Amino acid sequence: MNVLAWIDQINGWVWGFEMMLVFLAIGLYLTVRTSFIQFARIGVIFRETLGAIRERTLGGDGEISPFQATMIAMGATIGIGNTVGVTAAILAGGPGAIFWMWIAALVGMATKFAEATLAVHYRRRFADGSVSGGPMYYIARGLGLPWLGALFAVFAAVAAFGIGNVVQVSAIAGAMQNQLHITPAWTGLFAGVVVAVVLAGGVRRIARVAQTLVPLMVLFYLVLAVSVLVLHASGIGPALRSIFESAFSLQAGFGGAVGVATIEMIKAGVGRGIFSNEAGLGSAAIAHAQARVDHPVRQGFWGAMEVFVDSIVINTFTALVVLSSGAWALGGAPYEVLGQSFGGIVSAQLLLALALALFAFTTLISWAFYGEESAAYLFGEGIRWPYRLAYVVMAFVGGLGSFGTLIKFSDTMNGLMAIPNLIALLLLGGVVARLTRGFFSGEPWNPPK
Amino acid sequence: MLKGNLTEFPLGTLLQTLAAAGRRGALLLSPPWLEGRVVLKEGRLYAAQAGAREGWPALELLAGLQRAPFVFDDAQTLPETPNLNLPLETALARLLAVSDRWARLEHLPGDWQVMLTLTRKSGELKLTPVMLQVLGLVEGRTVARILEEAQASPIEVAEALDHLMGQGVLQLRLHGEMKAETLVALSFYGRETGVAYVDEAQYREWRKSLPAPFGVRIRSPRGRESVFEVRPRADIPGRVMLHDKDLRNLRAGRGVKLEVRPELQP
Repeated sequence: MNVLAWIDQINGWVWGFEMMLVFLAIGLYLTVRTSFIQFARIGVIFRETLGAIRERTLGGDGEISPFQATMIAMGATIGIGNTVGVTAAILAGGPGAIFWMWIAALVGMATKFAEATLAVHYRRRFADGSVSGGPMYYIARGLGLPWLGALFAVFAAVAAFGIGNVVQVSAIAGAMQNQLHITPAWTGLFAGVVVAVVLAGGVRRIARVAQTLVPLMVLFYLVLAVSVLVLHASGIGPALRSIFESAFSLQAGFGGAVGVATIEMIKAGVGRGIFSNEAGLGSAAIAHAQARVDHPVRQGFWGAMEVFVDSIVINTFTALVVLSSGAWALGGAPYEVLGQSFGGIVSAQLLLALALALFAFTTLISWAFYGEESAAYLFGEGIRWPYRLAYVVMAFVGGLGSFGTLIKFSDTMNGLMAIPNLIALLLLGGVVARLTRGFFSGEPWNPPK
Repeated sequence: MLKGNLTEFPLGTLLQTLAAAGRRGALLLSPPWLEGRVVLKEGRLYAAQAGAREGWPALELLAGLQRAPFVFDDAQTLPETPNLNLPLETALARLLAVSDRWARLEHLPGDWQVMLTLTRKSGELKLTPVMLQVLGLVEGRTVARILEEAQASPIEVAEALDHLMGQGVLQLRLHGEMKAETLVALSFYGRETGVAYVDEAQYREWRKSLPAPFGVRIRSPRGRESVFEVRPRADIPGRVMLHDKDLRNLRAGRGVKLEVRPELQP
């Protein structure tokens, strides 16, 4: 068996159904350990996050506000998974897949709450007040397994070049070429220059860009979706009904046996849900670790909210657009079906392409930070500039070719990130529970030495 | 001209350095509530003055200053007759012993501009003659004036004040109200209501002016106000952390700007 076949096999395994069950099981375990925090404390989660957006940073270590940290994380999370991914889930599993996507999101809220909480708790503090954190740190410091932390960092640093860089630049270049007839080389050059300028400012500049761009792009996309939904207003009710009705129906899919279709629906919903919100992969924890907060649980709330906005809000709007337009029933490639669904309003295709380009750009920036932090964990502070340079070059080159093998390889690395992270979440569930109990008892946070 | 503050150079160290260097001149100390002067001449502590006090009592009083800007002026006209004239080693040894006694005081405020007042506390307390003397001087005088004007030595007066404050016989009388701070509300959860947490630095700042037990009166933008016990907490600069229920009682929420005024607890 050659290397490519090995990569294919591992890729199939890390993104397979069994792995999805592991994601769900860990999420359920964390839900129990945190006393069902995403349900029991939903009011607190909203007050501590959306209710506190305008607040400045709290004290303590870290360089950016909790909101900025979350926007970096959401910059990476919101993307193809929320648009093409949701459409693909509907095409593969029918409207009921959306219900299972919601279930995955509700469970994922506890997972990401735990990731963000642990990221702040175990982050490393430097003399100048800056911090570094993420799964590599909570694996090394929390579990006492530095080699496993390093393994996570290797996966993340490599994944950043593919899933975070080339895939995103290709998406932007494709959208620009199709809609505005701009040559991919120019798009690549532009992306490279902009990424260079942003990365040169370090985490603070990345945070400033993310806190402006991410809310705007979410708003832009939601306004676009609402505009389409207004045209298909009569289809919204039936669309919602179809989600709930088909979620538990045992009817066979296109030519499939009864039960098989149901499993396919759950696989599509849960799988695409996890791909969309990335709860369990550990990447977002690298951004959450940077927040200036007085207690890790306060950042944990932002983690939970991130999943809520990503998978419950944005994905639902996408699903309603696709379902209410009826375009999904005719079948086809997910991107085409999505385009047809948004096709009801003037220039919708162009606007959708711009939205997707924006999603891709923020992902490009956020993953640069993830990759850089992971590389710095492995090789020290000196690697930051070489890594940035390599990332910028790759952003330029990414617009020029297809890089199929690199993308496949980095996608596999992205999936592999989940393994050390999920092990840590399982074994550190007790720490998350203790921190959560302490927070809700009014106890101050004592970071580990 | 040598300049600095006693927070960086304690008086004993400063005098030892100047005398050892054979400096001749006057060390002028100027906390806002007192004018102090120590004259060095031929390696000896030649004269000292602190407000109305002169000689050794003046030096004893100056030893109690925790912070005060100082200037060493070697162009000053020195007095003809000494009121101290102690050999350096003897003076420093005595100064060290007095400084230790000042350092042991727990209740006397570092700011001697404040006034004290008798509390309504009842009970039995054995009073020494110095304490009686102090109680006779306390109304209407600042701590600095009591230390200057009492017949007993400054350190004995300070110890008497400290003891009486510790016993709850005397308490701080504020010149009007303390300045209110505008702090942003942050919620905490748990069983403990009626407590307000402020940042450690803010708490230390208030503690300097309010050495007696104090709380905070918090006023919401809607005009609701309530008094809370106050405690320090790390990493919440610019914030006041209140229990979620207390915030709701104030008809406020997280992120709301609250007016927080420290005040003495009865």
